Amino acid sequence: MQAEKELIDKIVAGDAQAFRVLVENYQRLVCHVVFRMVANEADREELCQEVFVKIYQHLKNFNFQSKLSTWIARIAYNTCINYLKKKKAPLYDDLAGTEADSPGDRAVSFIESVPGELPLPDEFAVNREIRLFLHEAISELPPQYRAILTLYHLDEMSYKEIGEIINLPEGTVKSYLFRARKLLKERMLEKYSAEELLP
Amino acid sequence: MKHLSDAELQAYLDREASISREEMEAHLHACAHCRSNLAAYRRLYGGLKDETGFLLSANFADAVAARIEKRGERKADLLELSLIVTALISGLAAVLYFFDPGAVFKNLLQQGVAGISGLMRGIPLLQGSSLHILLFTAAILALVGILDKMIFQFRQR
Repeated sequence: MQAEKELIDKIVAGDAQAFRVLVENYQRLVCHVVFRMVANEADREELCQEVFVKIYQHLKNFNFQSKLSTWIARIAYNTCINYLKKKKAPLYDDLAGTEADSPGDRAVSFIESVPGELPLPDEFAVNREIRLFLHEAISELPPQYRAILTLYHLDEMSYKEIGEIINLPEGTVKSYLFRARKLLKERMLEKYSAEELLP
Repeated sequence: MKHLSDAELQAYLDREASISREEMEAHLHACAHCRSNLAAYRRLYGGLKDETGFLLSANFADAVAARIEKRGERKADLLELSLIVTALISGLAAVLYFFDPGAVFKNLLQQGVAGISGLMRGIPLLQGSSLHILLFTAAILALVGILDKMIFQFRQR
């Protein structure tokens, strides 16, 4: 906490190197939120940059009432929500909702991002296929659910912290997380047998 | 046999289980249905931790720094432009206050360009008062100096 305060003081005083340290410390968190919420690859990195520009502009107003990571994730989340509103993507539909981009496009783009073109042993091929299927199923969830899943599983945030970020009560976060995971599990079981799912 | 609920399975993997681990494992040992549900959940939890494809370019921090710098320059340009516009408006207002534009224009029309002296006839407030001119010039110069210093400091920051 003290180290973060010193870092923020330096940034506010105009230390560019200190800001670079902050970017390096939090780019993973921002990347998780933006990449999970925004399907369009061309816009993702620019949105991440925009998030850090906003952080830089408003850092002097940060009053340590929450954790810095929570504050940064909230800026990332709100930036994505504004972007999706501009793109007229559905934000708060139920779990059967669809996304603006076709799932096929997303699957192809994700395949391209998975390293390794050499033939893989069967087990790895199945693992890879399940991973792609899961990635596609997650990307079909409404953005709010995707953000909750990411913040909980990838960034290991608590229900309380997630609630602060997306402005929902703790109980609602817990319930959304449960529903999203149950739905994803059901989709997996519709497609794969239990044997295939065993590691 | 009563199956484990989704809530119980998720709680088990979240380490928030309401029933004991031993009780859970005994049930899983005996129940294929719950075992397949748990296998699916385990896969899902593993997949949710997968960061493949979540990658920013290597020069991301540089790009952010460049963007902030560019934004700062644009802000400085806007400030400079607004100060120039303000100075022009103030200058115009001062001219309108000290000159009688109607009289100046009339004199110019009557005497032609050669009648520059006609200009002076349209400046009743300044005529015979060089102190006014000096004070006005000094104020303008001081204002320009202060604005220039402000812009320089802003750009430096």
